[in-house]
Amino acid sequence: MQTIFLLSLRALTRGRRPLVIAALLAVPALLAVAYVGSEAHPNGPKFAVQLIDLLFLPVLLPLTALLLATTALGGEIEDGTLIYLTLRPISRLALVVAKLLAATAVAAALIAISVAVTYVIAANGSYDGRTLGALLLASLAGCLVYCSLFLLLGLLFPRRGLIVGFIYVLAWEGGAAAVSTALATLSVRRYLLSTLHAGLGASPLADLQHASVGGAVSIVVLSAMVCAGVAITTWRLRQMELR
Amino acid sequence: MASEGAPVVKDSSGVAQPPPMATIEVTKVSKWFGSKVAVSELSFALGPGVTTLLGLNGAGKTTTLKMLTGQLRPSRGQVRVLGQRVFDNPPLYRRIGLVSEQDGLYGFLTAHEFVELAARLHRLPNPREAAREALRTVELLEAADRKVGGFSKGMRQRVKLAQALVHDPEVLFFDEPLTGIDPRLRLTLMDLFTLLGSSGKTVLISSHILSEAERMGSNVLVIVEGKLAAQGDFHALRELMDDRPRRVRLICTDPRALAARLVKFSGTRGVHIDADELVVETGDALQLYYTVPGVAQETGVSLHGIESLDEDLESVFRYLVS
Repeated sequence: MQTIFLLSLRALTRGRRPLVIAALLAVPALLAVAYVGSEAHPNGPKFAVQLIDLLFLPVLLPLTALLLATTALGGEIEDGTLIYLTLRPISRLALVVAKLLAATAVAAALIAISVAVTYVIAANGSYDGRTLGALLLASLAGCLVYCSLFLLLGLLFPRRGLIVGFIYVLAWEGGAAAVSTALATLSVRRYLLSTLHAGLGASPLADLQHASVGGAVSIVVLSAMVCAGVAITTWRLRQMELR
Repeated sequence: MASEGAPVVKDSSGVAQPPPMATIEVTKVSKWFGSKVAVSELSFALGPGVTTLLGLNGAGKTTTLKMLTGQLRPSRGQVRVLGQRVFDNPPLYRRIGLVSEQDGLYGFLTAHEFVELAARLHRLPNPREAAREALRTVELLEAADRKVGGFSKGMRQRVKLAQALVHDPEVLFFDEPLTGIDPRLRLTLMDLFTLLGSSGKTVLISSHILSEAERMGSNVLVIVEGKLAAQGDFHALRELMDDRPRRVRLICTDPRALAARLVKFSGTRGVHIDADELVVETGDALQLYYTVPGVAQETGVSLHGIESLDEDLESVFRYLVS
């Protein structure tokens, strides 16, 4: 599994893809700079959490995971290299887990840097470790969940996975789930917000969250999503023919 | 074992001879994609040694190889390699090597890294050394540290061969393995394949270049339009084609005089004269071989050579696909 993990890390961190993602993730930091530079910036930490709430979790985080995870397996199918992994004495589960961990590691590293930089800039000297920790925890959980879903998407739609995922992110996670509580129940975003809410604890910043389920329930639901993603991807990979 | 109607090599009692130790068994296998039938009711068994899978483009060679290596699941029938089913059976893949027709490689890896990746995934005890040895075998050691993304077609084929050989598998499948490789190395690799076969490995090579197939071994599988047309030693297959006239070239001092006598024999179907050569089409080659020296002597013609023109693989193949 380590061999495939390292191979996938190399594949995902080369080319223009990480640069595109880095440029995308620089946007919140630039907004934070603009906020701090403006004349009225009464509550930097609050602004940072709002950015996480409205921009990171519903849009930037899933897009980052989408760009990385759909190519982790889908790219191998498109490039004709998957046989060099599947025709080896390696269990499909180990292959899927290695791919998931690689995509999550790259996504989490990029997201963590962006979140930390954005928060530190916006807080403008008044940041606290717990808030930053909660933001990073929710981001990491989001990376894992979205990567597990988009890994499957890349396997199901090697060519169109990116487009299908893009529509899903913008229309569902960033759109429908944001305007309807009922629809939000079926979104990843709701459980990430609840995780963030639980992480923020008694902080006044926690009031910003529209979390409606407990932290423990959120963790369970998110874990179930990851397990389901891995299980279905593994099953699909075992059934799949390489034409 | 072969599809019904396909010529197979039999022993003197007329019984089809399965390989003494079948490592590959294909039983009534069909494969279709939607409404298109790629392979139909294919049955054969192979043992150790080199076998060439012959067929025109689109005949079903690659589909057959993909089913034999677990890339495709048969729509019907059974494929077994080393006694085990192949599709979704990772433990078996430790004993199989494949050179795919697909050109995809990890372009960002060096040749050594690419082959070492295979060695590591096969959990070899010393993957670095195994990779070096495999690269040495395909004469690619000098380019071991170059990225495979910059390789020529021939070098890509060689690195694919190296990753297929690195774990010393018992069964090897090569899909057009010599494409793009220069003539000198081509001969070396053909000798390597022959050596692998004679060392007890089962080597199945898909090829449409008959001269290569002939050099690597006389055992062939011929697929025509998804069906097995023939299996066995192509010399023996030729013997089975009794309904086809044999062409025999006679090199002599007076081809016209010799032709005038030979057309009177019942087995002679036709004669063609070209300079000092006479080509006789006969239904009974053996009789011709026995008769010609005497006839030449009677007519005062000096005979310099007798050569069969239909014993090569190309003749057999042309007959089977026509």
